[in-house]
Amino acid sequence: MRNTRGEGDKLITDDLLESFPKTQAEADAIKKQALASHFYKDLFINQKGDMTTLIIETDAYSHEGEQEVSVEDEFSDGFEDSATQNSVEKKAFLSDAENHELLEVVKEIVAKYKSDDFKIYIAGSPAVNNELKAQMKSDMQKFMRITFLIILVFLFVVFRRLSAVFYSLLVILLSLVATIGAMAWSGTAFKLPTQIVPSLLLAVSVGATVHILSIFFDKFNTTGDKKEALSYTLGHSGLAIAMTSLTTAIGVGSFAGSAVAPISDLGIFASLGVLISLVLTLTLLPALLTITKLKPKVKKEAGQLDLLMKKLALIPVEHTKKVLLGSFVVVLLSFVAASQVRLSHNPLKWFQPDTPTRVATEVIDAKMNGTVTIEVVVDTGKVNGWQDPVLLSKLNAFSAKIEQYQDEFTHVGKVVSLATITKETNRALHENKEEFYTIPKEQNLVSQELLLFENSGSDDLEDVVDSQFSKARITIKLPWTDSIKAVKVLSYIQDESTKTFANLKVETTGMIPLLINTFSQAVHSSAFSYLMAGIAITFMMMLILGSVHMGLISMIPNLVPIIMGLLVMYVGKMPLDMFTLLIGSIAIGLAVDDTIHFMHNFKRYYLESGDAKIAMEQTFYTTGKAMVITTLVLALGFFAYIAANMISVQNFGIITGSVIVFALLSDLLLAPALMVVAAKRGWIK
Amino acid sequence: MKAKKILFLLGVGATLLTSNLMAGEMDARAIMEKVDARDDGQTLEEDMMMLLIDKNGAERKRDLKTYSKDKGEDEQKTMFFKSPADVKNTAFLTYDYDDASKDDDQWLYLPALKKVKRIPSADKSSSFMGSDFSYFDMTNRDLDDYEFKILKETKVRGHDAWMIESTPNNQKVIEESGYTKTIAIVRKDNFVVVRAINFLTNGKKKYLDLTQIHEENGIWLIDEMSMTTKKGKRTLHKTVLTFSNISLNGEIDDSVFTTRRIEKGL
Repeated sequence: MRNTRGEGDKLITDDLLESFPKTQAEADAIKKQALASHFYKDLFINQKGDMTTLIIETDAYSHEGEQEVSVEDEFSDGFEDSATQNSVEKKAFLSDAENHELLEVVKEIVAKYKSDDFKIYIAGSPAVNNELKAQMKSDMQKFMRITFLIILVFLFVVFRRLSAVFYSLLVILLSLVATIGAMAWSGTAFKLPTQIVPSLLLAVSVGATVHILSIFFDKFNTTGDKKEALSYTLGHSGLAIAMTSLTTAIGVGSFAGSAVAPISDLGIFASLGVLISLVLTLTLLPALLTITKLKPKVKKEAGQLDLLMKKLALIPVEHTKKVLLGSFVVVLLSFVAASQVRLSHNPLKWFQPDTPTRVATEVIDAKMNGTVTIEVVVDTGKVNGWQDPVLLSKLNAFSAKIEQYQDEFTHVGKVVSLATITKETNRALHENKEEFYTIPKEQNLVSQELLLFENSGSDDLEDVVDSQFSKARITIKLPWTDSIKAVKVLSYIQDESTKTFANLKVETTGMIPLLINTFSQAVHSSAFSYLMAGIAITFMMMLILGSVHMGLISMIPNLVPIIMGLLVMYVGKMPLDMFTLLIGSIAIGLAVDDTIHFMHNFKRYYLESGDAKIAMEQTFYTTGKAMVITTLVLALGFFAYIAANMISVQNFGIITGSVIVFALLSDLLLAPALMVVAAKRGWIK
Repeated sequence: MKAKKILFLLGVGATLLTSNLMAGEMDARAIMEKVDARDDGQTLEEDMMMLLIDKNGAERKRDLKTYSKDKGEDEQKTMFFKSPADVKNTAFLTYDYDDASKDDDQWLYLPALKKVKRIPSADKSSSFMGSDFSYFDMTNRDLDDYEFKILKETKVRGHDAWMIESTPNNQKVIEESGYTKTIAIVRKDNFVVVRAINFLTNGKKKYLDLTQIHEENGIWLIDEMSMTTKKGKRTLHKTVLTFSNISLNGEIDDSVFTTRRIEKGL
């Protein structure tokens, strides 16, 4: 920590703590000096003087794969022409694993030294990112297991057959393993978005297998003929299941075109997984059922569920108008609520309020005025361009102006640049007189002062300017801010820098611009993906149902659950951020499944009997029952996520679970009502 | 009689053994003593071109004129910048004291300020003019601060040499130099350290290479040398110093090494 000052005719550029103080008086003297420094304030020490920071700079580039070289080899390799060595290397950025290792060591050291009256907080983007990944991973893994268990138990309760349980699980597991295997084989790592893939596959696989099992066992229990039951099942629902899987694959696959790499990975692998699951459900599952010894369980009287389904079937038929009206009102409400859902991206808020990393960041932000940065790099394009006093004065004025910035969301904590070092050196060379804390007016003096600074051994210069003095870096420190809320300050900074440094190349980067860019890209690509998926699915529905009218009508019960999902987000005050944005992909897949099953089967029964009421009963009795079972299993599985650590994971569970339930309601009430109307109008051909 | 004989043999054996060991260590130390004792002249006047190369290969050039003179065990140096233009006539004056307890003195003159400033140079590990050479690199090391060991014999640029490892034996010299150890290649024919790898306390390494040397009247002079700072395999920065117009043991007046002289410029 440099301390440049003049004493008499001596120029001193040493460290503030060159020799550690041994007496309280010495310590007090240093403290006074530190608190008086404009440079230290909010960077190394806070206003009150009761908090200080240690800034740990990590390497930007990775050292993975570097091996210890023996001394002899050093002498032959180490003296090679460095130019060729550097160009051969591909510079990879510091990897997550390395980041994690680093943080573990830091945590160990902190644990050794902290105490109740000597609190130590760890914050900064490497720490927050590390914690984010660790918690999300542990949450997702925990809940995969719990969801699995719930599904297992429920399957048994419903079917009361081990075969039902195990074969479903087998198909699910194989699809999962195949998909993850494909990811590993292609070198695709698990990122935040791709962590949804297992849950999605689970939902899809359960849906398909339960459907098959439900219809199969019903038939088998009645006839006792396995082969016949199987062929009936596949004939009855095979096509529908293939269609549902395809639409789900399209729904989720639309993400493959996203500009954000992990989201694109999600699109590719989730759709792959869905297709694998389809194949296994239509081949492996029937095969397994064929080779297993099964005993038909004859039902003496209709089960509870069967009776319920009979009753439910009547509602849309006898109260068509009421159902349609009611749905309309709900949808309208949802639209209103949906428009109020705010776009936001603040990963810090995904942590519980008492998580150490979140607390640390908020404390340091409050006391030290910022933990993340926006970096502005200004390139003059020529050697020693930044030794120009005129340009340095502009830089100085710019820094001062930016440091004053405040808006309703955030404010700038501190600005560090080459101007700071130049002013300090100038002041020190003029006997520490405060009026010389300015940029010198002559070029020669600037060059000589910077030469002197270079000679002092401090490497602070590397942080603010490149070795050619052609590019300067301005570090603007801010508190951790929601990406959406930081847009204003970022555009202000970008505008001001282009204005101040007109004719020069100005670039902005840093954690905040990165998050903003990533999020806005994610939003745009997702919106586009959803649109594409919507169009593709509409066409598929038209194909499956055999008419344009039916296809269009079917989109209503398809989209309603998703809109209602937004209602849930509004009520639960959940933001639309990069994570929740992806939930739609799962939601579309599942909502569409129910609709396809229902409408496909209703159409078939209606064309057979010509009577809407009878067709409705038959549909509810077969497909409807399967839909209810699937929904119950999945909703339970997803609602279990409420017990998660991360708030984002809790929200994920609540929203997905709700959408699954809404999809069922929509396909037991709205879709039937619409079908009744369609039947009356003769649209079903 | 037998006992005496055995004792005698044991004694001879022991002497042989220990003297072998002693010879091993003494060889390394003896070599380094010869390196240290090498005559490097009383005065030296030369032009120095400093080329600073960053990790992207971008270069910066500086031209200096340097004067050095031995004063007993101490050394005095004066350096004037000739280029680039905006630092022309910036000058440094250094008194390098042999006495380890005495800090070196350094003054600098900035023409734009028209003032001479004193700089306490307590931190020898700091870089010389922003180059990869540190002040510590430019001074002679005190042999008593190190343990030496011959690692092996090797060849460099066709010359036979020893590879010698020097390890500091006290914390003070580690702090002062910034090095945890050094491995040097010493040419057998002239006891010049032609290559070295310095291991820094922060994990970086500095590679010294004397690429061009020549002999004049029994004294070896450096024409060109480089120092490269690396982390792992990655080069962070490199400095090349090229010397020309070398005038060895010429007459240089003591007044050259005063603050008044450096104010006057070249």
